[in-house]
Amino acid sequence: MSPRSLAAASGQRVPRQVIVLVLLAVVAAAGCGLMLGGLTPWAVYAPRPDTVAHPASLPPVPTLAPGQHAPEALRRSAPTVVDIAAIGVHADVVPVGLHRDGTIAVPSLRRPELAGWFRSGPSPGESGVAALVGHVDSRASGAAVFYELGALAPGAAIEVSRADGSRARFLVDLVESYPKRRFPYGAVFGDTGYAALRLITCGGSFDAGHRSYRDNIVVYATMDYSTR
Amino acid sequence: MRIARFFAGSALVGGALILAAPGMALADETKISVTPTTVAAGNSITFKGNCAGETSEAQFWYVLKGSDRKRGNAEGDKKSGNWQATIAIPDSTEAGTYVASIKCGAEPAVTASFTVTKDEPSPSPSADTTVTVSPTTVNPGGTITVSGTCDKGADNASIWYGNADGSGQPYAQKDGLSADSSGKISGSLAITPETPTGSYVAVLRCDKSVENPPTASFTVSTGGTTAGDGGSLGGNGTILVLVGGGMLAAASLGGAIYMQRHGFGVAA
Repeated sequence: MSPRSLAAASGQRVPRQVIVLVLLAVVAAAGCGLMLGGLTPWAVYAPRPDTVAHPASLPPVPTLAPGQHAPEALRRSAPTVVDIAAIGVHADVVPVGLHRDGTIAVPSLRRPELAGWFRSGPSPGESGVAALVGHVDSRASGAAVFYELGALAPGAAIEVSRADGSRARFLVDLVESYPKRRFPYGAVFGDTGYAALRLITCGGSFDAGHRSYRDNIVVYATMDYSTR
Repeated sequence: MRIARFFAGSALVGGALILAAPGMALADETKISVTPTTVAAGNSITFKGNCAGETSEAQFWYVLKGSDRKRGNAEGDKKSGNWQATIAIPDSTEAGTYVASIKCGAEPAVTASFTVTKDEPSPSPSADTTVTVSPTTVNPGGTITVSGTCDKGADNASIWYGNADGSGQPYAQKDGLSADSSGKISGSLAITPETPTGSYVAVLRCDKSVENPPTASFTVSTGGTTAGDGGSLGGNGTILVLVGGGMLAAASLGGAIYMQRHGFGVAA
């Protein structure tokens, strides 16, 4: 029903001028709305810790507390599933290597629900530093497997199921965010002498030009329990 | 109900009898067991025996090579007939099969056999035993620490890193390293900025004569990981501002032109 016929139905003749002005006002109002929407930061960001601008090369966690003994390390066995109850993660794990550009590869953006195990290093539960990587987001899914990683707090439990049927539980020590260009390999992958785990995803501000985030969020965790 | 109680009561009494039986009854025949059945010289072995008859004493021994006997003090309970002794196997004992015996009172001895092994002196320690590298993933221009143990000590050890398949020349090397008094040795190597990303091995050679020194693998990587494409960030605000602004401008312009032509009055 057009405004004209509405007016006709009510028995009054609406001046054409009024109709034109009303239409123009509607267009102008819609334009204002779009502009406001565009100017307001309405995007929802994944939780992220503050960036450590100048990361040190030594592990930032005091490894094991005095008197605390790490449980005996497990033999090498590929991880199959990672569970992090605190942030609702239950994900299958696939092995990954190095990307052509020298970064640690991540499962395809078409499978943003998968986590990747960096197979060049130890397996979770083995002595040394094992790494699991996962996307923070993807165009296909919005939030991805490690979207909430930055919200993890010390003490949270990470459980890894392994191909040999054993399970290893790790407790979060620390969550840090580093610029990728100064990624502190020494701190993240420095030898521990016991079973440790690092979870890595993207964080920090988004570089639209390179279509990637500027930071990596790293979760440091230590194995405290395992079943064989 | 009474029948049920009768059965329950009978079951309880029966169960109690069964539980009590092994402790009360003497064995039908004398038995002996040894734990462990294989033991390294220098350790001890436990003899357990069960005498068939009620005896006031039991004797345990085993026969050394020749006719020597090594005896143990038997402790036990003559009513149950259970006796036990722990006997040391001296370091000097030769490897082989031995016979353990129990003699209950005047009854004939009953025997069981066990094996004594000799810990071989560990094979002559290799000059290199272990090597580790830290960190296990490093960036070009970074530093790795190569640590290990040289059992024989070292005063001219070498560390280097090179391709994982052993091909080509080392990228970086240090020679003339010395081990500390416990054989521990450690040194750092700079990862040259030209090192391509990929897999490498760090090597510790305690002595030039070592042909296959142990290796520890590590990865050269750069730039952390690229794990997200901004897909959770919502749309592009700039486009909204431009489109909205355009609509506002068009409406204002259209209104101005229309009013200029038709006047500001509402009546047509």
